[in-house]
Amino acid sequence: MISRRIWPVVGALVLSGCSTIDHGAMVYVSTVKVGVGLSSGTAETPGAKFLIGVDATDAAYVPVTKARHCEVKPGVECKRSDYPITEITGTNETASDLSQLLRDESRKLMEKQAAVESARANLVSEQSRERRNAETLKDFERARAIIETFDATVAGQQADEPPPPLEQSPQPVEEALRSAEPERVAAARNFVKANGNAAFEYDSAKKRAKDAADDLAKAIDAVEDQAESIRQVSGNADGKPNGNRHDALSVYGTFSNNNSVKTGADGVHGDVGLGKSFSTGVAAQILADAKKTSASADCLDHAAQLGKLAPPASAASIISNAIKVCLMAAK
Amino acid sequence: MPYRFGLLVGAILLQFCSGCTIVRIEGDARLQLRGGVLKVAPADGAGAIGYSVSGLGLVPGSGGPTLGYLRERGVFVYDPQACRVVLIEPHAGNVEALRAVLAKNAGGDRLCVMGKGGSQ
Repeated sequence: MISRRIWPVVGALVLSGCSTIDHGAMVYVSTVKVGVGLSSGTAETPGAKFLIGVDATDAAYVPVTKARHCEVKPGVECKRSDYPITEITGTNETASDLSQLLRDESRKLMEKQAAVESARANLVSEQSRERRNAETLKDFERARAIIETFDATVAGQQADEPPPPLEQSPQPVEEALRSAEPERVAAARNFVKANGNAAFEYDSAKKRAKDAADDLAKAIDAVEDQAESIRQVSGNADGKPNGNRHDALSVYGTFSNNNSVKTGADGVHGDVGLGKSFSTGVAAQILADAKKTSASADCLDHAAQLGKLAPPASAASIISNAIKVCLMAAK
Repeated sequence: MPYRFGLLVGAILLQFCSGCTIVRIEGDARLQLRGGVLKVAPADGAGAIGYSVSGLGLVPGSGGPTLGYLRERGVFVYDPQACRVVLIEPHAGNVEALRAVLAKNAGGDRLCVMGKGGSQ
């Protein structure tokens, strides 16, 4: 009796716009139901379901295999199975590895930072040597002044003395005067004798200190260039694949525009609205990387700005520390 | 007899109720109407098919019929090599930018767009 009653309903259902879709691999479904729903379950969402009320579902699937009813066509083998299973694959064979590239660039940055530290230590040493040589030169000049003053005094006293008799040699007078030479003049003579090339040493030290300062400036420039290089690598890496990846399929959906990534690849610039999005597979990884690298590019931009504002002497260390923070945040 | 009559009336009413179902198909598909049943099949070489159903009454969905209101949107992929990445309703104007983000190796050159961005 019940079956008799149900047949008209079943017939009505069949005739009331039932549709069939030749199912491939379902990758996305978004459903809003209000009322009474009856679901027998699908491959994606198995299990029967009876619904009264409201139901909203947004889902993305990553199919790994599919089985479709085999249609006999030329070149198609259907003997083994009516539902042959085929794998759905997509590979992401990459030309470059962003992580490796960033690691290499970071290693270069560390080397250049070490070069800066070495150049800074060398500069400090050369400046210290320059100061010592400057002091030596000053002492040398003072010693020479003492000697010249003393010699002038001796010469003056010699002139005031009555001329010696012709038969007497002038030597004893000068010797007498010399013998009265104070100890400090003797010390000055010894100092001048020992440091005869003080002026040359000072000039050399001055030149070396200048060279060391130039080397430090070059090393700091190299660090800044390397920081810029890392920034460019990060910026240009937007959207580029990061390592070899392999998955089935990528699905990406969006519903609003409140999220974005910066793009720099292939001449496209600006923000891409990701919206209230979902994504699967390689696309999800790429978009996540793009989001992350755009964030790190922003961070490196700020680091570069910080370096410009910082005093030149500490700019390199400030930039390098900021870059370390950016790279740590990007991991 | 009145009971059967009621069922018959109900069945007829269901027909009227389900008269406002709108089905939209995106992609290269073959449509067949057989005895009131719509059959959608991919054309040869079709990468993906998107569909949207909205209706009031007795409306068929991918998981079964709903009596009431149903709005459903779905995408089936038939050739993953043609559609390595499927974009569903991306914001207009962002498709090219997304293509650049996803780049060639991520399938940016084999992009299937369903929804506002158009079907490719």
